[in-house]
Amino acid sequence: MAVAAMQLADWIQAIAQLAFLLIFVLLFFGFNQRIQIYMWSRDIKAKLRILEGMARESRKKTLDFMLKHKARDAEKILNQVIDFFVIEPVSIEPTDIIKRLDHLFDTRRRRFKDEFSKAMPEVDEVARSKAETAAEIASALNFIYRIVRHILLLSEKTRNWILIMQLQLLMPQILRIAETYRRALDDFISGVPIGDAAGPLVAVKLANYNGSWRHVDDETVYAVTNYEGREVILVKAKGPGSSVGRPGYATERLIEEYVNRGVKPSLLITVDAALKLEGEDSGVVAEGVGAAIGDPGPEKIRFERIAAKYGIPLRAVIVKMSLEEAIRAMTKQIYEGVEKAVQRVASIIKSESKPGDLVVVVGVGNTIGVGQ
Amino acid sequence: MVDGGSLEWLQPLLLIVMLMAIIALTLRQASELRRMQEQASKKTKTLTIINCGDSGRVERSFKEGDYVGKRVSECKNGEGLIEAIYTIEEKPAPKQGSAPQSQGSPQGAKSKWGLLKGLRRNYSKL
Repeated sequence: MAVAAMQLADWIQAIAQLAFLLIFVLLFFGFNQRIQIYMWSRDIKAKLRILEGMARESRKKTLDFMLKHKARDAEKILNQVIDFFVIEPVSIEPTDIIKRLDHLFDTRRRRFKDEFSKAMPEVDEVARSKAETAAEIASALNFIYRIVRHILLLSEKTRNWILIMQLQLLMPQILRIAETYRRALDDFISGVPIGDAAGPLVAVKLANYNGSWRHVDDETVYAVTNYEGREVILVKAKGPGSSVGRPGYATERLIEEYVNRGVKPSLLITVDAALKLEGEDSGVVAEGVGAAIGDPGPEKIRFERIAAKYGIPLRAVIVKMSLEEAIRAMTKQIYEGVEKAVQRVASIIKSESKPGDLVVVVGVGNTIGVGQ
Repeated sequence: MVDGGSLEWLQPLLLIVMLMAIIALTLRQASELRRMQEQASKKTKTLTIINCGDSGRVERSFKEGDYVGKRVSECKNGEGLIEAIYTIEEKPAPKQGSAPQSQGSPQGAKSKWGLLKGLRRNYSKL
């Protein structure tokens, strides 16, 4: 009995030694990496399914919203919008690149507007703009899902474990962004002001909620008010629909008109929401020099050009917030930041202009939920 | 191979180290799960603030169609103006024996993996 037990122990020892040897040899052939890649791939696939669900959910919500507002061919239009793309202009020849970029963005904007006007002729502009933004969010979520899937499949196909590792490390961040977009969709559909509406809200507050607003173009409005003896022109996107308007174009046009009448503004102030750095508090107001606007170029350059052309000091006031706060319903903390920004703009006007001067204040950002 | 006589003390030591590592990992995962659940269970409430002029301000829940600058007749002395719309964090209700349910998992996730599965289950229904 004792001999049999000892023999069994010897066999177990021999098998264990063989297994260790085998594992040791396999390590030289990258066995550990393969296991790790398998685990990373599984993790990415699990999160990819969540991304797919988000893309599908946002599409369904957008479609429901469009159908609720009696949209014609809603599904066809949504499919078109979700796959819509803009090809960047040639950048190795930079001459007139801004003009070309502006033209492309303008074409895109008109295309979207026309499609939704044709599909939803019976509803007001506000509902139409909400549908447009909802479709853009659905498009963004669909894009995130497709890109992640593409990288995963490509890295599996080419056995590129560095790509898989990078994707796996980035997945929590990607999921966080996607989740922010998913939640933002509900806020846009219900028409609540978002954090990015800080700029337009500052303009409305400076007009004391009752300025006489006029159109500069179909999506941008302005009002003239008086602040301690200064004539103040306020510019913002036309609300309460979801729109960022064309603040650069509107400001340029208004300043040119006033200069032609013989009045040159003595100060140009842009107010916008800006992304805070991790660790910074939300709703903090900061000021600086330059155009506070997050556009890819065409609108921002108009501020810089018109200010440089007439030697107008270009000042910027920002309300700091995270990406989540910028595209989701405005929090109380951000609203308090808006109130502080109003005071900061007022103090800049008082200290950097004289009574009788003309000052331009531009509230930059999406004006959803903020009328005029 | 290890001589059973002189290194007998090594076995229980290895066992203790392994047990401690497992406990540490479990605690770490539990605290991560708690943080995720706290994040998911944060509920917000959107408020509409109406300026009623001399009679002060009225605060109510946001209704679809509200926007800043809209004139509404919800004041005692007639018309008011929507001055602000913002969200506040709702304080969690006091616990009554049961743990709060997570938004991602209807049954209340029991583990991080459970939370992930809950999210997946919710989205696959669509």
